[in-house]
Amino acid sequence: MSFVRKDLPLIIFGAVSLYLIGAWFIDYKPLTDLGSRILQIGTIAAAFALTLGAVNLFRRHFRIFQKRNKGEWYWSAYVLILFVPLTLWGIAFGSQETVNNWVYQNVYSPLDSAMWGILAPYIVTASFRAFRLKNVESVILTATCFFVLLLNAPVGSTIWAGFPFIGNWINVYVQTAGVISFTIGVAIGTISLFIRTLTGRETASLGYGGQG
Amino acid sequence: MSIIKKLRDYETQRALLIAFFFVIVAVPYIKPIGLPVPITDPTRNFYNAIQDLKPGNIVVIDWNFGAANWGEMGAGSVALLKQLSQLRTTVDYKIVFLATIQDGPYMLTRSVGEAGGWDTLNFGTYGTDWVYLGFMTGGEPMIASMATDFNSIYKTDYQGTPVTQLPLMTKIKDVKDISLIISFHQGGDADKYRKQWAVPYNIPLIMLVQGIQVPTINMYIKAGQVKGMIASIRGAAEYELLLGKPYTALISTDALSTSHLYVIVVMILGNLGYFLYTGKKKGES
Repeated sequence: MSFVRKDLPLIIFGAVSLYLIGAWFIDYKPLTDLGSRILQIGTIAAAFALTLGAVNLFRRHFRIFQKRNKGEWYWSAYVLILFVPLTLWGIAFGSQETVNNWVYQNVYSPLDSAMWGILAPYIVTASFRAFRLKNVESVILTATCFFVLLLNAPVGSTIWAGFPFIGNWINVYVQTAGVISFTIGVAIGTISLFIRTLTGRETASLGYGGQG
Repeated sequence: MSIIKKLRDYETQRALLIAFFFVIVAVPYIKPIGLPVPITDPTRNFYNAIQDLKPGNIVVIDWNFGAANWGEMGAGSVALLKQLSQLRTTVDYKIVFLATIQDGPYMLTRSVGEAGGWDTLNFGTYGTDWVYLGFMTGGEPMIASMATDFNSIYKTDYQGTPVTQLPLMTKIKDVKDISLIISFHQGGDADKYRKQWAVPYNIPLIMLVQGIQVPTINMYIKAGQVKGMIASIRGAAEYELLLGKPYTALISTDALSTSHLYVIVVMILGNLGYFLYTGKKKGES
């Protein structure tokens, strides 16, 4: 059991990932062809994951609805009322069919846009309270915000040509430098996570607990 | 409670700030101001990358943005369709549309509808000059696989026609046959084309980018890995100006100006209140 649950996934993970790394660096057609085939298997697995997600969603909400969980069941019923007919309709007639497309364009799309739009008033009220010049750090933050706002709004250059110039300098040099260092940090972290997983020290991604 | 006292209450302040915000944003949509929009280099490079296409060149476009981003990226996507259609009258290039997020096909339908419909847009003959492959799950591994064998993933187009029956698809063996990649960036794995196609195979990549992702893409523009970018609604307005087809983005940038100025005013008011209040408190003690 231990071999099947712990060692086998690790062996498959190690073999596949090392092979793909090799195929990336060595330009030899049979090697890259097999690499491409492995990636296709990954794509098929992703399609299964999507189906599994849909099945899990149905099971979870059906159970809540069945048990009539207090304060929850009617939301689950709502999910099922939308989910089941639209899925069946999509399977029968295709996802781009008129009904599904109508629901997406006229129900989901405005709701999704509204959810995003709700952020704007929060930003306004947050800027009233958050950008207070209490110390050096908050002065830097507020000044940066001021110049970047006037860079993105065309009115900035109408007021004074220097606003977008300073904003652009902050954007291209200061901000980019920060993003680069952050990205490099993430990349190094990813490599170290890969090595830890490969050596069996990190097992969460393989589906059994935390650190080994 | 007197009016002054009420105004000191944060809940009242918040309600007023939001109410004024809605007015400030709505005004430019009712009566556009028409503030000048300077065109930036990333937008110009995006436009030029398409204009520089030669006969026979193949463009792959991944329509990977969702409904929530329509406000930021919708206008840019419509302008993109208009430029591609306009260019087709003089240059015989080819287009492959695909989608790697579930929302993609719906958003393409919406963009095409806003641009006048498939019948109005001129992409040439379907199958020979352009193809629409539809949505496929698989993300980055899928794109990596397509790099070495382009038809390894999509076996049919969005209508179920086998790719072997589409002359354009039979022409494409691997990513080296692609001349330009156009992708949308709304986070997630949208960076996959840069990592799997653009950098390893030196294929030009241009992007329509959500505002919050702009700093990340700026880094890749500086490194030369992304050739051009439409940065959110502001970039879309510049793009509309370059195209000479003003549409919704230009009106939205007026709202962008008024709302950004309003945020600055709110920041100043917040500080005034803070210093007056803390000053008064110090005086009292």
